Amino acid sequence: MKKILVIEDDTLMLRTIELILKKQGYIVDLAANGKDAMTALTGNHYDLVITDIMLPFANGFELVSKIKNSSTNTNVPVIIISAITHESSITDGFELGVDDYLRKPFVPSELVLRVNRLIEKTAV
Amino acid sequence: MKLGYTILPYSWQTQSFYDLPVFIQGAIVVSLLAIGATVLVFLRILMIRVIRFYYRRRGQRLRSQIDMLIMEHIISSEPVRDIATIVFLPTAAFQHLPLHKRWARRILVHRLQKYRSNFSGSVSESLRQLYIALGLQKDAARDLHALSWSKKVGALGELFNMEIGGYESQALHLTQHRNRYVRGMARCYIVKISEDHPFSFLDHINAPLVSWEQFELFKIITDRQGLAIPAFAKWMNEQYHPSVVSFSLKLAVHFMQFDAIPRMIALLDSPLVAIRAEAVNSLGKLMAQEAEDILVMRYSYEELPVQIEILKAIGRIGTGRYLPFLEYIFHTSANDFLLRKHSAKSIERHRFTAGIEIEKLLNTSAGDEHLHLQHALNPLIKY
Amino acid sequence: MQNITWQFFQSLYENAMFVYCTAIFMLYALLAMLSYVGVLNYKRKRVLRDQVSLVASPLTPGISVIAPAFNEGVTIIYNVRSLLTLNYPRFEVIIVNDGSTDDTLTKLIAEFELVQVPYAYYQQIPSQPVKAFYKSTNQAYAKLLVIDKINGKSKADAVNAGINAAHFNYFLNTDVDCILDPKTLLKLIQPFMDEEVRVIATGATLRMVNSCEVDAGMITRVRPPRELLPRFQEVEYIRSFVLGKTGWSMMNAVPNVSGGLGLFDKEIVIKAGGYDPASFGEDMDMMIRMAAYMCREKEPYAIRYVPETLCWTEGPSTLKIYGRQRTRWGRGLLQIFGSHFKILFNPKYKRLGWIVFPYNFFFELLAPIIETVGILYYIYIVVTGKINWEFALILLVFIYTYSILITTMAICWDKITTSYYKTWKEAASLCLMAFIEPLLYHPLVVFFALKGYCYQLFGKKHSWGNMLRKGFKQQVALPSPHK
Repeated sequence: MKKILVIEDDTLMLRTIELILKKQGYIVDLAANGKDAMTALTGNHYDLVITDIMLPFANGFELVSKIKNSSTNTNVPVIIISAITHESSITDGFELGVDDYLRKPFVPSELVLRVNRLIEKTAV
Repeated sequence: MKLGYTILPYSWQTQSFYDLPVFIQGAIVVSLLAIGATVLVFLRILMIRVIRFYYRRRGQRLRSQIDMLIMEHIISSEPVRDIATIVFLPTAAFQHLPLHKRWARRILVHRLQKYRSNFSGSVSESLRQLYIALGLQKDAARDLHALSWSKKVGALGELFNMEIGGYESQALHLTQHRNRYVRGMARCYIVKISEDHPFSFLDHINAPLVSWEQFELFKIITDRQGLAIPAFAKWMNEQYHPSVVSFSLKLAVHFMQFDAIPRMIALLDSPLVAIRAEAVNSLGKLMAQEAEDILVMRYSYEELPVQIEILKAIGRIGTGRYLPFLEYIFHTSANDFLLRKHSAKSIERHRFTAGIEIEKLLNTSAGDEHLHLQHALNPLIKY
Repeated sequence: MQNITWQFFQSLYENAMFVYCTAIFMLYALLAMLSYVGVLNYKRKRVLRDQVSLVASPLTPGISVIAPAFNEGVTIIYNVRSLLTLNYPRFEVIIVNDGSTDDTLTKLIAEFELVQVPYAYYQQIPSQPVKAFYKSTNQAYAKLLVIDKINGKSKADAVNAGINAAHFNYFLNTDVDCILDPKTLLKLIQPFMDEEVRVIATGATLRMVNSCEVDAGMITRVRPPRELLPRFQEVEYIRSFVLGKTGWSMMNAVPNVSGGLGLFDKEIVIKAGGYDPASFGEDMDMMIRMAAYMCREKEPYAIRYVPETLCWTEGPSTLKIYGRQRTRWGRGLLQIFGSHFKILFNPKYKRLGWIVFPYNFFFELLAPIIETVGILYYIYIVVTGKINWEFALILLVFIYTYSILITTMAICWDKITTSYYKTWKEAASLCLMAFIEPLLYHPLVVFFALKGYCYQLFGKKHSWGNMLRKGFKQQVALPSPHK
């Protein structure tokens, strides 16, 4: 079973994404802020991380950089979900090594497709 | 009138209130009023707390019920299919909510809007159909005629967020309302919903379209699917309000309307500095090669904000033909920091096509010029 | 004959006092009403103006957040990190290390992977020279710019350096030890975007962080200060911001945007000459010069207030440090009238000359003096036995009840937008302050203001800006529960 970490400060969003992914048979861990996310990331290995950009304690970019420089989760694909559409924010994300950028509002089935694709890709 | 006998000093008991000097009379009256008002204010504080507490408790229960229903019936049964074919009617489950009460309808509507702001596609469409099936638009439709402007705006906003058509004529009427917020929201509604003339509002704007309104309209226009996008060049004209001209420039850039380039060039003759600067900026973003000569030609006559925009535009267009021009400005603007900064940045934009030359420039420059180039070329410095 | 003259002056004085008090009370009543409307309006508009539009729009303007730091080694990392997590789509954070003598800079360099970069610095407004610029090699901190400058002995000097290095057209002026609400930028930029007239500055309410629960630079639970002195200040701040500034904002006559938190139009700040390092009240001085500049240019402008708490700051909890702060404020106020006196009742300056200046002159600057003279007069008539005790008592009760009303209203208006305190007890403890504040706290305010005036008038020329800030630091460096 593949394990996914979802980081998002909006509980409604967090719970819906959890539901969507659980239905696909993934194990889902949740973090509501940057600090919880850091603790989750140090102790566990994940197959995918989904994160927001604007988070308390540490923003999404900082988390991505921590992930990409960590020992346990270096090659974990990351998807950013954010309402920010500023071009610079998207390019910043990709420069940091983010694998996908999803704009809010998004189509849940699209998220599922992207998650499946990224997980298959890294599994190969 | 005699003052009270118990609390006041003895000497007063012999005096009538009216015998006291005016300022003392005033002081007594105001003190009594102040005491009364303080008590009222305290009660108000108390009330705010009680009401908030009560509302929160009442709302929480309903909200979690609503969330469960939406998760179960809409999110988890989301099919991957064409939005147009969706018919969503699990209203029976939702009928168990206490929707005969207005506050409950309000919370549900609020929740639906929140979900819709996070999810698009079929989930969003199902939520919309649920809204219609439960007849929730009735409250909003009624509030369109409410006296208070904030209720009107709330109603328009709700219909707008839920994409409920059928109120175009009322909304059109409200675009002429005396309250700015009503006008703004009515405009948003028209642009999002109207099939025939979503852009006609641009013709009638005579008060400035403030930035916030521009942001909202920009978002609606760029998000709306299946909308026939007009040629925004139409509004790049002196006869329209400057804020309309500026707004249509931004839209033309977003939709890559290269046909608008001649109109943008014509705007370079505008008497308004801000419009000229924005026209240059748009030409740059559209990478209008045909404008390059004109921009460079105008450079020396222009005011500083436009000059900066011209330098930026030359960098964006980036044909390389005017790299010598940029270098010339760079060398000769020792006294103007901004011109030097932006010419350096635009030179840097040529790094892929003229890397060797820039390298040479960097190696031969010294002092302030060298610093500016280093700043522009340093990948760590974004701005 | 002498007696008659004396009686004449006595009655003149008493009548003047009466007029003065009536004016001040009526003014407060007016402010209370206006701020009530302002708060309600704000609350209604807050629902309509969803911040998502700002986050999601590609057109949202960028903001430079400028925070000077002087010997903040203890808390700098958390504070910078919390500034970097502000909710806003496009901003930079400029930390101005104002010649710290502790490890502030080394800590920053280590934590945020900084390297020195060549930086084209635009010296538009005066400040001490900058020694070096630092950017992060980690893309995640791309928003951060640290500038290391020679100590300028004032916050003004450090902010000026930040403005010179700032890229965006708007800048937020804050202190590195202030804790900001994550939505600060979204809420403060809104008036700039939403008005037909040019907005040149916005501010919001400040509150005491003293007893709040803070975790890694974020407020997790708001509490009113446990200690008395900061709690008095909390009440004072609420009154001055929610009732005062919101009311003034309705008249478009905001006199001052606090140095702890304010969003400014950079162009106007620069054209008005930037912050004045020699000023003791640099924030108000800046605001006055910006408004005066707009008046001279005959451009309409607005300064707006957001009646919501967006910034939490450490209030001095010892009398010594508090006294220093207030003496400085008193000095600053007098200094402002010294240097801008020509604005008073000058028709060229419209509201600034006819509302802002007269109010601040008569009811802020002169109030402590008039009050003191009043007390001396009281003592005089008591000693000479001329006092009418009943009248004196009535007047005291009058002033006391009225001031309680005003403070209670401020606390109530504040509650209308947001409930900051969780429990009844906390809310009540604050309301209680309204009753004892006029007796215990107000004399302190008056005393230190007068002390400030004296210092300003009779020399004490040496600048001691940094001494003050060191004082703050020592306090923070102590193991206090929230840091």
